[in-house]
Amino acid sequence: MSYNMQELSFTRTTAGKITVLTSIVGVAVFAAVFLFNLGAQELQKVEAQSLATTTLTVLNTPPQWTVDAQEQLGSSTSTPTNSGTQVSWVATATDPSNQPYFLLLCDTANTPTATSATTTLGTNPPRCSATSTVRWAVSTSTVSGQQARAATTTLESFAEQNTWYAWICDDDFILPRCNSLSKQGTGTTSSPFLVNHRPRISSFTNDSPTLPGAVVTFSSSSSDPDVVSSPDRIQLFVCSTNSFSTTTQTCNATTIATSSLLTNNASSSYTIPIPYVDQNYNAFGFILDEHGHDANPQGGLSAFTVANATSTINPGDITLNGTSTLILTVDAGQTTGFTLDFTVNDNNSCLNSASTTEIINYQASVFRTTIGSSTCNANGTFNANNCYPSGVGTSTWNLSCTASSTSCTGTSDTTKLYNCTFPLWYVADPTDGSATTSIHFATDWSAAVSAVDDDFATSSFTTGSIGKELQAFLAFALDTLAIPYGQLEPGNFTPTLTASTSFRATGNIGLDQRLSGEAMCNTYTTAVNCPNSATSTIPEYEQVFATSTVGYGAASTSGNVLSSSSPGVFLDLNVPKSTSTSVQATARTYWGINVPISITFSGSYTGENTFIGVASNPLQW
Amino acid sequence: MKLITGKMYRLFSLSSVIIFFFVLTAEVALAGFGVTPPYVRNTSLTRNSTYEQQILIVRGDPNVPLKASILVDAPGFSEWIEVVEGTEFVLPRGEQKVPMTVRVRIPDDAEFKNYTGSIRIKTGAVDDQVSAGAVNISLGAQIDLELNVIDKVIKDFKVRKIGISDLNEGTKIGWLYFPGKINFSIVLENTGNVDVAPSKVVFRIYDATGSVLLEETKNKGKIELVKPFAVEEVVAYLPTFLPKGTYLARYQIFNDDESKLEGELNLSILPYGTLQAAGFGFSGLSLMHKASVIMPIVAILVIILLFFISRRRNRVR
Repeated sequence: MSYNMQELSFTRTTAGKITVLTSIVGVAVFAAVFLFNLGAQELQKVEAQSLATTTLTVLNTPPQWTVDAQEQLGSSTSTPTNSGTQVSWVATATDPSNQPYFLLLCDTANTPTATSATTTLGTNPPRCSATSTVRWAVSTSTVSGQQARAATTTLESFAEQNTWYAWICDDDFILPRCNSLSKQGTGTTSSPFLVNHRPRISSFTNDSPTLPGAVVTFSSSSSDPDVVSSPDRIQLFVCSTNSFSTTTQTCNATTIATSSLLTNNASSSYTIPIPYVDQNYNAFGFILDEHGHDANPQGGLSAFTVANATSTINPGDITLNGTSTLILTVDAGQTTGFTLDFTVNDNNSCLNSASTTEIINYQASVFRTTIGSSTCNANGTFNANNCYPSGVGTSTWNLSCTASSTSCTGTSDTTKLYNCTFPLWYVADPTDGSATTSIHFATDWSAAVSAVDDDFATSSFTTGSIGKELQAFLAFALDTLAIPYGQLEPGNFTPTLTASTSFRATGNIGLDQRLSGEAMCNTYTTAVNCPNSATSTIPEYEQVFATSTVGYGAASTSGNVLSSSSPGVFLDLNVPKSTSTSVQATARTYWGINVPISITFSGSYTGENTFIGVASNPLQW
Repeated sequence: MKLITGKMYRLFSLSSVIIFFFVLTAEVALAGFGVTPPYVRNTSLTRNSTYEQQILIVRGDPNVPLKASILVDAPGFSEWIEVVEGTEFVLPRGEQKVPMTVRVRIPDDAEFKNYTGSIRIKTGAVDDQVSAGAVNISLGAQIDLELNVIDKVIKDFKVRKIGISDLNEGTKIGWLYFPGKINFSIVLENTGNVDVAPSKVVFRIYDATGSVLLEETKNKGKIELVKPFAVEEVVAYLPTFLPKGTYLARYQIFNDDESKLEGELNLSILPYGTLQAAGFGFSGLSLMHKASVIMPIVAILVIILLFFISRRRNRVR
């Protein structure tokens, strides 16, 4: 071996120093190993393997970050982690010694303490530093180079915002190490993680009872404790059952109402549909925050009450006597079979909660329109001339109604149709004609109806929009069986008109008479009148009449002489319009006769007198 | 008998007369009789018009048949008056009321004025027989005639009844929405002298409480005319775009500009298909929807037309 001393002058001058130093170091190392028994195993192995005569202890080095730690699912202000669910972190590290490693999440930036495994590597996870108050999570032992995952279940007791530092450590037997570099993620998966706490609800109420068609408001005393970035908003769901899906955020049965997102005291309203049966309905309140986290406990039950709606009857839904005018056809009695049809509306439907009828009764009146439904209401005073109230009972006025079998089809049906029949007395005021023929020509007849529901609420007394004329009814009865002239000799006459016939107005107008007659003889028939004979025929003009007991001559000179020629003789009898159902207005016609002196025929005389009823001037009714 | 003295004869005769007058008997006595209405009245007749009025003849105790004899007392216009049943007809036994129709035919030369008169109905035995030895009493009634012939058109009516039936809600086919069809029936009495029908029917439809106006609609198409003096039912069809539900409808029936009747009705719109009732077809579509159907068709027709014109020109060249 030779050296170029000129070129290697440093070696030549320092070689001895190195030799000495090396010897000293070697002695020192030997002494240390000997004294402290360091590297016993390694040295043995060395011995076993290669029988090395030199020893070297290579110290453990900490795992190295391969992929930085991140929240596995970002837990941020927009996507906080609901309390009770896990927040997790992932990272990948590589250990130079290929040892397993741990991913540790602490709340401080101080390096945690790695702990050495006792028997098997990867069994002793590290601890956060002493200054740390919370170890958020630590992963299981993870093979070097593979992804580690650490997770913790968030609790209501957690703060809303929680800083984390991720560490990676091994548990080397000799020198466990943590990487001195912590990680905090990036972007939305970075520290801190946010806990979304449950909203609170302390009361759940509503302002019912409420009518169908109106709004019931559900209120709550509710709030949310989370305020980071901005206060969390909450939403109230009102369900028909105590069952709610937080997954779909809908009621599992029927959703009654849903509020908008509010910062506290969420309330929602519900317009009760028409129809809706009046009763109590279950309503359960559920509060969710804007991140879908539900309150626990929830609001519970707050049954709402659908109030009883008073029935209504529209004027157009009242039909008096179909399309026909009111026509009386029974003299001195009641004409039956007039009709009244009406439809009752009830916003609680036509059926009640027991599936029986909601509308249990009705009241009605039929009246001359000018009387009015205020006077002739259901409890008005019966007057056969102009007011027929149902309150008088069927013995006085037999209003008979039945509910149509085709109406009221179920709780979705608001209507119930009634078909009624009723009678009218013969005295009912006529409203047809004109000023010259009727007093009440300018009006008509109407019907008014109200309905009573099962809560005994009575609708307003509604008058139908279409009135009907009641037709004039000219009717009379002649009650007198005979005209008792008494005893007369031929050539004599009744000095005063004392014989009379009674004429009753059995319709609804006042009457006069038109009288005619035929001569009397013993051969008279309607087809063959009497011969013109002075001895055997008593001419019709020998009979006179008047409205009072005037003298024969007076009646004769006033023109009230019976005539056989058309149109007969008008007698202004002035029978008033009858107003009583039991006693008719009556007037008498007084008769007188003169038996001509020329009459010689003895025997029975036959003749025919005709009483024509004539409508009188309405001013005389 | 020859021995009977004149004084005795006179006494005998007198006795007979006295007996007769004591039994002046009303054979039909106590029986009620009447007519309704006791008039034939029309104040808006025109020349060549015909008017009919039904009169009911009423008897209180129809236990025997009677013959009704009609006498028309109408000075100057008796030939216009006809009783359809004839001048004599039977009131059958057991029939408490018998209809009689008076027909009035106004000739084309009738003077424009008011005509008054009467029709008298007299009853008697069917066989014309009367009870011997008595003055029989027959009953009757007078029907007043009041006719006014005018040379003025009167277009008027009276509503006797209205009705509305449930309907299906409208339906959407493609982009076209066919509305529900409200059938609003109106029984009209034509009180004028020309054919008449409501000029317009308007519905304002509110929510069930009547507080919120939801839709205003009027009838589509013309309403059938009713002859003068007749009473007939006509139907107005109105479209509605409202969904199923219960509503309050405030209706108005117009005769030209005059509102003849208005009121409120309950309106039930049922889910589509509930009733087997035809809805509105094309005529019920909104203007925009109609245009969306018509315009493409017109465009196609125009293109076809232009195509043929173009071909014809090419042939000519």
